[in-house]
Amino acid sequence: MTPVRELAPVVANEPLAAGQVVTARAPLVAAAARPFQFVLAAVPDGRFPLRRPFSVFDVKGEDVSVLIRQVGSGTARLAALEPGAALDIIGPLGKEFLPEEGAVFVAGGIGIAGIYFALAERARRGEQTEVYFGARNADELYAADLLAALPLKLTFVTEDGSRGIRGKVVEFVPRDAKVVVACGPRAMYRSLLATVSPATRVYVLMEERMACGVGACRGCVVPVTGEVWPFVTVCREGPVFDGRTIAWEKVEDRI
Amino acid sequence: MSVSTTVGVGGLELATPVILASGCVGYGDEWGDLIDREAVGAVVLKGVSREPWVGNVGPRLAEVPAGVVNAVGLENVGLERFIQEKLPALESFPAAVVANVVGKTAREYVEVCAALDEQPRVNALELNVSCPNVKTGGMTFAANAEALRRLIRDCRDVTTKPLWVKLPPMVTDFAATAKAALAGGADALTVANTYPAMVVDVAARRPVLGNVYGGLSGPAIRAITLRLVRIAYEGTPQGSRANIIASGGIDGWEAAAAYMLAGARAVAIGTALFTNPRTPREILDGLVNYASANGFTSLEELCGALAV
Repeated sequence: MTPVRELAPVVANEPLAAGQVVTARAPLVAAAARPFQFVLAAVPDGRFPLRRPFSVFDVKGEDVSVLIRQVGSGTARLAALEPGAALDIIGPLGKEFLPEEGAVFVAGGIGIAGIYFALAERARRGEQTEVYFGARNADELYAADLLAALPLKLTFVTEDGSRGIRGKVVEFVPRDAKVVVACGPRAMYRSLLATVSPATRVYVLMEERMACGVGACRGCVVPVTGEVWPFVTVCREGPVFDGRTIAWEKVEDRI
Repeated sequence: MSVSTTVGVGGLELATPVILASGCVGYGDEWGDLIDREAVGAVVLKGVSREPWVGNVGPRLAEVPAGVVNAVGLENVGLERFIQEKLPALESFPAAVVANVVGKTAREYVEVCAALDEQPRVNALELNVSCPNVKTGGMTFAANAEALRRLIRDCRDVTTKPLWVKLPPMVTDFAATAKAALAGGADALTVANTYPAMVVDVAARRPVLGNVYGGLSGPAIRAITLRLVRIAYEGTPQGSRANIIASGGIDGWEAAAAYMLAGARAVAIGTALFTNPRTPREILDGLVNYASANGFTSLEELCGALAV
């Protein structure tokens, strides 16, 4: 489906660990959104030229949820939207992604926002999914309780040991997994690619500073190797990429 | 009272004065139905060079107060794929299609213009002599009025299509630059491009953009570019005023009206699409209401209707 813009009334805004889950009634986006797709949300006071990209965190009926971590004044305004206010979103954007059977999921911190919808869908279909979810501490294990309520093979890992196993999440990912799907910081992707077997297929969800969301401005590019063209856009070709095709030496870890 | 939205600009008759600016609308069809094409008079496609250009390493975007700094670097598929893949997709596009031309040398500009002259879907050419993100992105031509005049004349010689020239805002004497472009044979002036800029990530102690420098767009530049439109308009004699397409931070009908009153015949929308892709429709409807309420029978009459 081509993306649409909806002025979606906020129906709930609930804290979730260190973030907020903002849920809005967006029937068109809800009907079309698939796992790993995202929306662009306008910051509600008109002074911010760029929309903010958020993974579709979950869809229930006509409602679409996004998990917002406040990183600046734009996300702070979005996270503060009260029920009844309008959430101006464009979506769904990016490609749906269907990993091969038996895929192991890995999330780091707020990265859970990018894969929760896929996990919930798999759970609804009755699939058993192996999930490794790590963060610095329990407070950054966003959605941990929501995940714990799903029928998943779930492992929590925190660097300070405040919940689950103490350590870094990548250490616990099976080295010989056939397929790994990861969402988290870029440093985690590098570590993951260096740790798992060379035969493991590793898919990563990439973030970039974004403007149009539809492949028109070529702003949100990621450098790739072995392709005809050296850049791909997160918004159009992504957001999920084969991690081994990304030219990591040209990628910064600030995201 | 009904208001005619048709405007004549740069050798084209446009259904509306609302133009989609080069760089923000890809090759014309990426936005799909998010942009109301019926509100648009022309779309200016992403700059095309003779050979493909890969563009700059990321990050390519940074948001600043009331603006965006970008350093995409004119990434484009090159002339051959542009003609074979991109133009055919625009067969049914309901507005005029303008190809934006970039080059590293005068010869490259001329070759691209000559090739596009044969393309029926291209209704006009816009020479980009003002990209701040490519070292040889044409700005060197615009820095020298005589070099600019020669470049435009050389392109003029190889095409009968209307020729627009997108000027850089940062020159010593903007009136002289505008006159040189017109002397070279430009049918219209796009005033102007982004302003050279940079952004620093204080926490990381690094420039935000991979290219370090970029170009500033958005409402932040509007008041500065508005003056340039006025300078280009006033710098040409009554009766043969320059055809001006205003481009600089237009995010609503009031900004569009201000530019038209100052002397623009059309308004190009870029960064505002990112905030709100409905902006072209909102601008057109707002201009019509404004014209109607003020006794104008056409949007064209707004051009230069500034009381000074």
